[in-house]
Formats: sequence, structure tokens, C-alpha cells
Amino acid sequence: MRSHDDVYNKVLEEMAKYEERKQLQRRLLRTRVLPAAIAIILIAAVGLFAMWKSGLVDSPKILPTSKDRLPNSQLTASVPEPSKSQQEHAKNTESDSAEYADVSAYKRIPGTLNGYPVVYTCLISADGKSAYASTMIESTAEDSVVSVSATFYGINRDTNLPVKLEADEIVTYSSEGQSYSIVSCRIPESSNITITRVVSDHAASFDCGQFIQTILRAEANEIQ
Amino acid sequence: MDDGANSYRRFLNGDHAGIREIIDTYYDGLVMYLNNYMDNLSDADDLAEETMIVLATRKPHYHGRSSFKTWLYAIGRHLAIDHIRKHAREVVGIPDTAAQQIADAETIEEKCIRDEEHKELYRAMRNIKQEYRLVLWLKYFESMSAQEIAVVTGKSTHSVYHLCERAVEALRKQMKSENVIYEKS
Repeated sequence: MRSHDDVYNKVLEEMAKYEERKQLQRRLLRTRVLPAAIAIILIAAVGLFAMWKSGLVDSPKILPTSKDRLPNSQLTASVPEPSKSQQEHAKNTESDSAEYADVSAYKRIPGTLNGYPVVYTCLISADGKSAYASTMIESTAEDSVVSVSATFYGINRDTNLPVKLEADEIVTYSSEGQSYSIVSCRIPESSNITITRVVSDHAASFDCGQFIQTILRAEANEIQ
Repeated sequence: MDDGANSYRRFLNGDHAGIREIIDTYYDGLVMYLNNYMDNLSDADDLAEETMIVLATRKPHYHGRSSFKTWLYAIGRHLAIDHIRKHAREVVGIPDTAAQQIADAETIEEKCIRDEEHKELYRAMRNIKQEYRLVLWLKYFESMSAQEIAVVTGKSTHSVYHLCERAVEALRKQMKSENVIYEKS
């Protein structure tokens, strides 16, 4: 067995060695490792900057997330008062639509929503069994998302009282870079209600009376 | 706070006399304990010295949850386990001769066991299982409680109680066969 003096001397010796090793490690870290790490980071940063400058690397693109999307309540639309030429165009469109669709009519109004060009469409149709009205907002701007809501008004043919109708289908979808939002209301013929007006929260309201006339005209043309 | 903890605290504060006190107080007992663990005095001596070096260089934190001796012995045991694990696959060199082993045992007896009755007890303990020898050493020679033995050996207190019972029984049989009469004071 070793004497206590031997053990104590050995312990002191090992302590000295340990301290020396630790100091060496600290010195290495300070003089070699840290400068090397800083140099590598700097070189990488300069390299990336040079690549970015030369166009080899795109600047980071911030993609819109669901958080970035504005809620419906904040969406504002400005529908300019249609000019004379536009009114002419609308009239043409109405007649065109009557020819195009056998038993439906629609109206398209161009406008802007949050600075994006959009088209509002109001459509009404009847197939003898039910009447169908809808309003649609269509954005042609890439990556923009639109949303529309509408209220439908009608009249009860039995009581002659006006009725307010809720939308029964809301569809929002994107296709080929375009975004669509459609709100529609279907009224069965048996309910004795005639849709008279579609009020979109973004677009101007549409009086269905003239559309109904158009439909009737279209139907009459069809019969003839 | 016991003396060992006091010495260690002084050492951590930069007083080298603290580690000297720890060596003087605990080194021999640690060698004895590790000898029971390793069955080799030379290895036990090396490991006890390494334990002191670990204490002095890495300066592990002593929480005071057990006595300083218990904590120190537990460090020694962990080093012994590492040592056994490292050398498990090594080809064993020249084994200690029987003469060398006897000489080692006598050295220990001379150095650490003053009481004649204890010497006889230690001689009888040499022939029982290493596991039994270890707990009996801690119980009778280091006067440790079952809880302390549990900390040092890394076993539960419950199993230490059982181990002690079996160890005492084994020792009694051994002493009977050697015609040794021992009454613990």
C-alpha cells in the first residue's frame, strides 16, 4: 500500500497537469478554434452575398400564410360607377348571356378589391323546378385570395310579402392562379318564392327583375 | 457537516491541506473497501489513488445527502466498475501468486486492523463470497448503516438487509469450520 505522502504528492502532481491541460485547451480555443470559426462564418457570408449579388441565389421569398390573409370583414371593395361604355357593354353582355345560356342570365362587372382587379358576376337561373341565384367574385391576380358573401331577397307569391333568404352554398376555390368565391341560393319552385334581388357585400346589388325578364325571353326564344 | 465534508469544502476554497486531511482520514479504508471489491490490493491501491485524483481535479459536487465517506466510497466503486469493464477483455498478465496475495493480506491486516479479534474476523471473511465480504466490511469495519451501505454498493436498503443476513450466516459457518469464536462488542 502506498504511503499517504506518496498519494498526496501524486494528487498534487495530477492537479498541476490537469490545470495545465485546461489552460492549454482554453488557449487553443481562444487562439485557434474561435478565429477559425469566425473566419468560416465570414467566408460563408461573403460567398452568399456574392452569389446573391450575381443573381445565383434568390432573395428569400416570404410566402403568404393563413395568418397574413385578411379576414372577410377587412376586405373592402370599390366598385366604380359603371361608365357609359361599360353600361353599354353590360347591356350587350346581358343579351349575350341570354343567347348563351338557355334559361339563365348573368351580369359581370369589373372592379377592384384591395388593389387587385376582380370581376363580380351575378347569375340567376330557373329550370322549371327551382330558381337559382348566385353571386361570384373572381380574381385574376396571381396568389390573391378573394371571398364574397351575399344576401338574397325574394317575394312570397302567395302573401306578396318580401322574404330574406340565406345563402345555402358558399364555395371558395383557386384554379390556375385565379381565385373564385361563389355564394348561391336555390329556391324550390314549390316554395312559391321568387328571387327579386341579390345583394353582394362587395359588389353593387342586382335587381333580378330584368334578369327574370331575360330568362322568360330566353325561354320564349327556346320554345319558338 | 462531517469532517470530511469540511476538509473538502476547504480544499474547494483553495486550501490544499483539505485534500491532505481527506487522504489521511479515508485513504486506507478506501483501499480496504476496494480490495474487497477487486480482490487485488494493487488494483485497489491504484483505484483509491485515482479516486483522490478525481476528487482533486474534477472536483465533483458534494450535495451532503449522505456522509462524506459514503459519497467517497461510491465514487471509488464507480471507478472500480469502470476499471473492471475496461479490463474485462484484456488478456490477464501474470496473476498474483498465492504468496503475493498472502503478503498483501498481511500488509492490510498490519496497517489497517489493529484489533486482534478483527484480524481473525478478516481472515475468516477472506473465504466467503466477495459480495458478502463487501457488505460485512462496510458494516463491521467501517461501521456503516444499511442506508449508507446501500448508497456505496448501489443496492436498495432492503436488499442490503438481506445480503447482511446471508453474509453473517455464511461468516458464522466459516468461523465455525475454522474454530474461531468471535463476539462483537
